[in-house]
Amino acid sequence: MKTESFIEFQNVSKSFGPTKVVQNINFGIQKGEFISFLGPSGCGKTTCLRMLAGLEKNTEGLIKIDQVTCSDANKNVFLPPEKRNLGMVFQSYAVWPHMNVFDNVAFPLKMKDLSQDEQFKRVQKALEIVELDQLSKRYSSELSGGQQQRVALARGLVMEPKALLLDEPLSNLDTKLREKMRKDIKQIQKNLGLTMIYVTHDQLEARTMSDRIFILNHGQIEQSGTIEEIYKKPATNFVADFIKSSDH
Amino acid sequence: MALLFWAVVILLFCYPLFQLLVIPFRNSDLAGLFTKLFESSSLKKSLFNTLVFSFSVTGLSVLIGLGTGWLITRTDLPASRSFRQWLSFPYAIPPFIGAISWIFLANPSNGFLNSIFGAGFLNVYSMTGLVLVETSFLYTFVFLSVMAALENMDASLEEAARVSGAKPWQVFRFVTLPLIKPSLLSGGLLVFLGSLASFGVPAMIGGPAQIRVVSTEIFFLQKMGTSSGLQLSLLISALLFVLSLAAMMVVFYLDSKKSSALLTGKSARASKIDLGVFKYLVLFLLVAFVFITLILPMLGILVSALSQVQGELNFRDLGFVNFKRILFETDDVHRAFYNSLKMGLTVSLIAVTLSVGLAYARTQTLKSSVYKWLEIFIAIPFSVPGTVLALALIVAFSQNFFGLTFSIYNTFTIFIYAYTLKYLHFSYKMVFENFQQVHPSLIEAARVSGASTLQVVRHIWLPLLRPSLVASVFLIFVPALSELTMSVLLTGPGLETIGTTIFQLQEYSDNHGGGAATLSVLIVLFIFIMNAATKKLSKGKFGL
Repeated sequence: MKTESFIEFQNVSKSFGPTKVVQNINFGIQKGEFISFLGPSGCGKTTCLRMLAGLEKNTEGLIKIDQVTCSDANKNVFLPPEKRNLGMVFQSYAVWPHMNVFDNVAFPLKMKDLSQDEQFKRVQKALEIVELDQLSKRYSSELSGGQQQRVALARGLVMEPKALLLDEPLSNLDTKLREKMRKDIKQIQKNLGLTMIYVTHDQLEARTMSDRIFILNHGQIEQSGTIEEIYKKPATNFVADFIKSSDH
Repeated sequence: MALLFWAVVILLFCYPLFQLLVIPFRNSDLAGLFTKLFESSSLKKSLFNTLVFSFSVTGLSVLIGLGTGWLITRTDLPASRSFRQWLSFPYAIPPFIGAISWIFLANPSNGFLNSIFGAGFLNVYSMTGLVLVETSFLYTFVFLSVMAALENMDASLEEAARVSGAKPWQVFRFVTLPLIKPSLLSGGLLVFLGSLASFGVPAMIGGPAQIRVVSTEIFFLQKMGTSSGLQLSLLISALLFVLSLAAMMVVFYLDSKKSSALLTGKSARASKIDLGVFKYLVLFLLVAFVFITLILPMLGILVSALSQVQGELNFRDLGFVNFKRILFETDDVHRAFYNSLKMGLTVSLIAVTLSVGLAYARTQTLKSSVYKWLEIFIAIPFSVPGTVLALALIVAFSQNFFGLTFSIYNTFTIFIYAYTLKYLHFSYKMVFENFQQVHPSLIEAARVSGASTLQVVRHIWLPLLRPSLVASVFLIFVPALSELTMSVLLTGPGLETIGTTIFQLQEYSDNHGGGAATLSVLIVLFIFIMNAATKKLSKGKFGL
């Protein structure tokens, strides 16, 4: 028998009214893996990530994180996002403009009623990891895009989440910064042994960071596997086209 | 040349208010006047009433506007789109229509609801009545401002808080509320200004209730016309002017602050808060709210207009007697309709022309910083209570104007003047925003394609500006048609307007006769039609 996965999707579907945006998705992710959801826009990759976070309710199927059933459409079980203990980094950074860097990063700890001392220690550590410890008093309007992205990253890491979800985190940055962030994120993931799920339409990002890639199209997984497996043996015409077309 | 023209405009905008500020202080016995102001117990009482009234209306409006706005945008409330529409609609209706209706429904002697549910069921002639009727209209200022902020907010700001472990109420408390605070405050201040300036409701309900506020006090001092009373009313007006100007400046400051934080994202907001077991309770409460604050008073004026005998529902007696009497047998009403339509059209035309001219100058010429000042001057009269504005015009133009005898008091012109001062800011704001959206390259592309100036105007400018032009006409024509506050002070023989006629009918000549309600029904119908037309013509961009 297969060992149980750390994160599991079983027959997960999502419909908005009559349109099915995600159809019958199954996968398992091991602890400490770096997984990328790769596909063109509208393929359902972000919806999958949001269902995992609890920001969207799956209309069919079952989602498990660390052996806890987070959502079961048949039994009407649904754990709201604040109880799933995940970190998430959004495409638009979502750094709260009315709080400074420190307060942004401390927010998840404040929600858990941790002591001031503990909050300070943990925030400091998270800011050191993303190399922002000198800027903790700044507000988002005083930060560059790259710095804001680091604040979001620190906020996602600070509560030592079960997994960190990243939704196209680098698409608003310029090419040079993107390269540096890619390396940094991968390094952080390795050092902390963190499970990361990374949504992107940029196959360069997926290829350079991931342990495994899930290629999605029309709400279904076309192929999943290591980079080597996918590039050597594309399972469908779509996968072959997709990896060729964006490979300059 | 253009600058000279605008200099004249500024002069026309500022001169009356300047006079209002100066005249009271030219009084030889200023100290005596101030003593009188602070010693008169009736004035103190009015001031106290004004504060109680304004703060209560503001507080309630903030609670209602914020609560309903949040429910509609953030939860899985059924029919949220219809609620949005129903809850915005009172914005377009003049509050005095609510007063007329609630007097019909809930006056202590023969109020319609009292005759159904027993005498003493409701008494509109009270501070509570005054506050509730005014709030049922003014909460829309907060509602619309909060809704805009809530809808423009990047959804991921709140989602990030959820994922970080915040429960829905914590998201509201720590993220949503701080982010919409500028919009909430500026909406609240507009309500405060509105209730400070409000005249119709306090005059109609406050009269029998013997509750006077500052605006009605000024009105009665003016109508009584004793010289010390006139001086006193000028002094009160000058003080009220300064107070509202200060409040308006805070509004502008807040408005300039809020744009940055909220216009970041456009990410779809798919996850709404599940109201769970409370869903139907909330639904019921909102339906009840819309019924009591909007539908019931609208039915009230309808029944009142159709009843021959006010205060009891007798289906056999329902008919169009009031309509016939008011519309076809009264000369005053004919004149009022004619005057109001003429004024509404003239003012719309003037205001839209000035708005386009100024917006063009501000966006398309180099001297835009000069025009920015003009923009501020236009906003000043908008913030001044109508009573004060009318009084300023009266004092400024019933005497020497730079050595010339130049009296426009008691003329058609003074109405046009007053309405333009009051409403220009409305249309300018909208036209200006529209102008900003027209990128210079659109015009340049037309030029390069061989279009002449006239062709550019006809084929590029006009179609692109149409939504805001239509909306400005709506936003000026509708309130001008039923304007009451300034008109009752400016009116004279032969210068009746629809507003003053309704006031006259309600307060003096046709009390309990349903005449005021009859005209109110027509106004509401008209607003409804104009709103639908605006919505259609602007393709849903404007209108409620």
